[in-house]
Amino acid sequence: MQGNLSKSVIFIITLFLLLAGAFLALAWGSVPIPWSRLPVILFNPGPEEGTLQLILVQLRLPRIVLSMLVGFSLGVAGCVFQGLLRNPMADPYLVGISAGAGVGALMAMVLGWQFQVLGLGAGPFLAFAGGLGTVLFVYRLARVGGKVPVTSFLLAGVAVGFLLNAVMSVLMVAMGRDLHRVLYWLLGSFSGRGWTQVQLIIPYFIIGLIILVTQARNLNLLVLGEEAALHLGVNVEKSKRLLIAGATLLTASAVAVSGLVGFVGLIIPHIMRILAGPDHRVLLPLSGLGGALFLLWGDTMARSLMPPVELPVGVITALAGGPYFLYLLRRYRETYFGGG
Amino acid sequence: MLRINLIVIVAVVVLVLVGALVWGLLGGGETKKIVVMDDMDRELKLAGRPERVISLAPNVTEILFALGLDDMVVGVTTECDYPAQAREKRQVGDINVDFEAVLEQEPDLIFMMGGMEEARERLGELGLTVAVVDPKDLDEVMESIIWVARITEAEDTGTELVEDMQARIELVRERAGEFEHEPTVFYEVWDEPLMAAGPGTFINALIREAGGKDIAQDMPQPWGVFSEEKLFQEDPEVILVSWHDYEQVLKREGWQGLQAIKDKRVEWIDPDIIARPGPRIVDGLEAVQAAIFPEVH
Amino acid sequence: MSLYELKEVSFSYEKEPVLKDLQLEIREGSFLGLLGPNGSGKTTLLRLLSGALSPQKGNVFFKGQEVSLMEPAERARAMGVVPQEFNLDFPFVLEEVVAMGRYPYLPWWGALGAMDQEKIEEALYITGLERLRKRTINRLSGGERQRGVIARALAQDPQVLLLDEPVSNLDIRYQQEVFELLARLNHDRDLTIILVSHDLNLAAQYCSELALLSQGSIKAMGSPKKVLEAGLVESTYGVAVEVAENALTGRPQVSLLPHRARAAGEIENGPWVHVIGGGGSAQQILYGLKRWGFRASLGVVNAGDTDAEVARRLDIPRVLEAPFSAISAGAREANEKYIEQADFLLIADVPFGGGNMANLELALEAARRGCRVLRIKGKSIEERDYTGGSAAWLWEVLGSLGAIDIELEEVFNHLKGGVESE
Repeated sequence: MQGNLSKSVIFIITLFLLLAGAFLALAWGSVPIPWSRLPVILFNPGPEEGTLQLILVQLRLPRIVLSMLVGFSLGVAGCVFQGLLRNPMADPYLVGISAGAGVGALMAMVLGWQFQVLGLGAGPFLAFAGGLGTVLFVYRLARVGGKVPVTSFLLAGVAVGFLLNAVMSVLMVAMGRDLHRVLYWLLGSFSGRGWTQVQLIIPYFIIGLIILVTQARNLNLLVLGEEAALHLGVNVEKSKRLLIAGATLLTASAVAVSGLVGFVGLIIPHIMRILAGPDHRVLLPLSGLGGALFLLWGDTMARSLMPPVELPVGVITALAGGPYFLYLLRRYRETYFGGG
Repeated sequence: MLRINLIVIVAVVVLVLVGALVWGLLGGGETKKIVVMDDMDRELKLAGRPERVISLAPNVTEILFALGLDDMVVGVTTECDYPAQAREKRQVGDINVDFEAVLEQEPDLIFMMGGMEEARERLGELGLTVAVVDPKDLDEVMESIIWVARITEAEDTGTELVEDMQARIELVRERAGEFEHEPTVFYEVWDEPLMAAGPGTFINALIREAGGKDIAQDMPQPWGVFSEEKLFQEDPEVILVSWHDYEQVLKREGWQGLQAIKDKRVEWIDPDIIARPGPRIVDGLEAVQAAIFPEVH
Repeated sequence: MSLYELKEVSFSYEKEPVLKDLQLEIREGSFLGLLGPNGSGKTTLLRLLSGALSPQKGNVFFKGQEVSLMEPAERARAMGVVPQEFNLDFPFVLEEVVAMGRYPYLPWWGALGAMDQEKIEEALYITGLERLRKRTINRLSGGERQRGVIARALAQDPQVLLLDEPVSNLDIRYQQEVFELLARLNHDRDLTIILVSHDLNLAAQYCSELALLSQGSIKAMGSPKKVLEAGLVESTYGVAVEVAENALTGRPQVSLLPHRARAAGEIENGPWVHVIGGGGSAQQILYGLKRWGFRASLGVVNAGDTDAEVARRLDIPRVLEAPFSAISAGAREANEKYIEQADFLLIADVPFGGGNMANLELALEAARRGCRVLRIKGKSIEERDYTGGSAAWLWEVLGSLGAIDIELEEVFNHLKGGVESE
C-alpha cells in the first residue's frame, strides 16, 4: 500500500533519526564543539571546559528537548485536527488557537505586563490562555442542540480566527518599534528558551498525550464522518470533546513556549500518512516523532546556519518542509488521491 | 626564661594579629566592591573592575569605545558598526542573543538595552551579570555614560566625555534661544505608511532642543502612523529624512504643494546619530540644528 | 416477531414536522423498501431506526428496547448502517475499512481477535471483495466501494441492515450487483434489510415489502403489488405513471409517462372523455389522454382485454364485462353513468359485433343528449361491422347527429382546443 516500508520499520527509522539528530544537534551550534569530546564535556569536563559544559547543558540540551516536545505536540495535534475535521489540509492553528494565542502574547508585549502565573511569564501565560480560551469559545459557539458538528466547529473557528487576527493587527500597529519581537513570535523561535520552558510544557504534554492516545482508534472512525462513526459504535460527542481538548492543550502549550511555528502540524501528519497509512493508532505517535525530528533539525539549522544571527525556526520549517512535501505528493499522487 | 618566653610568645601573637589586621585592611582595599544602579534601578555589585564585557546594543558599544575600553569589549552585535574597530569584535547576536557565543566569551558583565526582558532573564539564569542601559532623554544619556564609566572604572574619561557633551549641548541651546522664529519640522520615519516620531523619542527631543517645533508633538504614542492630511494641515517648514534620499522626497508625487518641498527644505540626517542614545547623540543634535537653521552653517 | 416497533413517532428538524404520529411495525427477516417523494420523511425514518436521530414524540423500539437509549456500541452490534455515499480523503485500504465494523466488539486499543478476523473474512467473502482487500478505498469503483461499506456493516454482525439509497450513485450494473447481494443476505441469512430508495422499480423487484411515505406519514404498506398501484403512486408523487407487470417476475414496474404528463384529475374541471374501445384499439388514445392530463374513462370492455389492461396500468376508471361475454345490462348501466358525466365521447377504430353493440347504442343516446362524439378515422364501418348492417346503420345516424370523424393524431389537439375555448 502506501510506501514500501512496513510500519515498524518507519517507526524504528524515525526514532533512530531522532536520537542521532539529537546527538548531532548537541555538537552543532555557533560555538564549535567536536562531537568526539561531547561525552567528556558532558560528564567529566576538564578545567577549561566548564563553559562548554554550560553551553551544552544549559543552552543546547534544553533547546533540543524543547524543540522535540513542541514538534511532537504540533505533529500529534495536527494529525488529530486533520482527522477530526476530515481534511488532510487542516492544521492545529485552523480553529483559532494561533490567533487567540497571538492576541494574548501581543497584549502582554504591548501593555508591557509583567507577572507570573503557574511559573509562566505574562507573554506565555496569555498566549496559552488565549489559545485555550479561543477554542473553548469556538466550541461553545458551534454548539447546536447539545452537539457540536465538525463543520460548524471549523467555521466558527475560522470566523473567530479572522476576528482575532484583526485584533492582532491593531495590536501590532500599537507595537510600533518593537515589531520585530512580534515577527519572531509569529514565525516561531526557540531563541533563549531553556529548562524553564521545558518544565512548563511537560505537564500539558503528558496530559494531552494521554487523552489523545485513548482516542486514537475513535479518530479512525470519526474520519468516516460523525454519523458513520456513531453507527459503528463511537460515542461521538464525548470523543470529539476529548480530541479537541487534548489537541488544544498540546498546541496551546507549544505556542506558549515557542510562538507560532508553522508547517509542522500541517505537513508532518500528511507525510506520515503517505508513508505509513491512515491508522491513527500508528499515525499519531508517528506524527509526534516526525514532528519532533523535523523541529529538532529545523531549530538546529535555525541556530547554526548563519551565526550569530538566528533565523526564525518557522522559516526553516517552511523552506525545508515545502519541497519535500511537494515531492511526496507528486510521487504518491496516484495511491494517495485514488484514480490518479 | 619562662617570663622571656612568655613575652616572646605574646609579642609574636600580637604581631601576627596586628599584621593580619593590617594585611587584611590593605587587601580589602585592593578588592574593593563596585556598586552601581543601572537604568532599570537594579543594583549591580561587581567584585572588581570587569575584564570581559559584552555589549548587546550599538549605543552601548559606542559608549564603551568612547570611554577607551576597546580591550575590555569581547562581544558586540551585528548592528554595532561604530567605531570601525567595533566590527572586529566577536559578534554574539543581533536582535536575538546568541547565548552560546555569549557564554563562550565568559564575560563578567553584559550591557543590553531596555525591552529585552526575556533575554535578560535568560542571561540571569545562566549566572551572568547584566546591566541595562536605557536612557530616555539627553540628560539620561549622560547619566548612563557616567555610571557605565564608574562600573568600568573609567570615571575620568567619562567625566571628560560628559563635560564635553554638556558644553556642546549648551552651545546648541544658546543658539536656539537666539533665533526668534521656531520653525515647524517633520521627521519622516517611513513613507508607506507615513510614519512619524512623537514625544518620548530622541528625534523629537533633538528637534525641540535645537529650536524647532515638531509637528508630531501631539502623537499619542512614540512611533506611529502619521496622517497625510495632518501633514498638509501643519505644512512644516522643514522635512527631515533618514531612510530615504532627500531628492526622492523632493520629487514625491502629491507633495509638491508643501512649503518645505517648494523651498527645497528637505534634509537628510544620519539615522545612527539621532537614534542611538550614546555620545554621538550630540552630533545628532548639532546636525538637526544645522538642518533647521541653515544660518548655522 | 417484530424487530422494530414505532409508536406515534413525530419528528421535526425545525418547526415543520417531518414525521407525524407514525405507527410502524417491521417484522424480523423482512426486506423492506421505504419509498416516497423527496421530503416525505423516509430518510428521517431510517435515521430514527438507526438511532442517529431521536424522536421528539413517541418511541422507536428495537426488540423492545428504546433505540435512543441504547449505547452507541450496543446499537452498532445490532444495526449495520450503509450511507448513500462513501467518500474518504484518507487512504485507508478496504480491509481496514471493513475491520472498522468490529469496533463495537473490541477493547479500546482495538486489537483484532481470531473471531474478528473470521467475521471480516466472511464479510469480504460474501461481498466478493477478497481480491481487493489491500486496495485503497478511493481506488475502488463505485460498486466495489458500496459493497465494501456493506461488508463493513456485515462485519458488525448486525441483526438488521439499514441502507439509505445505497445505489443512487451507481450505474445499473452496480445497482444490480448491490441489490442481488442484499437479496441473498435476506434470503440466505434471514438478515432484515430496510432501505430507502428513489428507484421504485428496483425496490419493487427486490423488496418483499414496501412502505410508501408521503408528507410524514405512511400512505401504504404491503406487498409491492399492493403499494405500487398507479393511482397511489400518482397521487403521492404527482406525476402520471403507468404500472405494468414485469413479465418475468410478476412484480409491478412503474414507467413515467413522458412529455407533459399530468397526474389523473389534475385538470380538475377539464373535460371528461369517455372512450369506447376494445381489443387494443384504444391503447394510444388512453396513453394520450393520460399524457395530456384529461380525465378519462373506458367502457365497456372485457376483462383481460388489452385496452382494459392499459387502463388499469394508467389508473383510468373502466367498466368491465366478463371475458368473452356480451355486454350485460348491468355493465351497460354502469357505462351509461360514465357517459352521462362525459363531455366527450371518443369512439376508437373498433369492430362492432353483437357483444359490443350496446356501446354504439349508448353513443347514439349520448349524441342525442348533445354530448360531443368524436370518431377516430380508421377502417370503414362496413369493414368492421360484424352485425350484418345494424352497426353501419347506427354509424350513419350518429354521423347525422353531428359526430365528428377525426384522425387519431388530431384528437388531442381538438380536445385541447375544447379546453381552451371553455
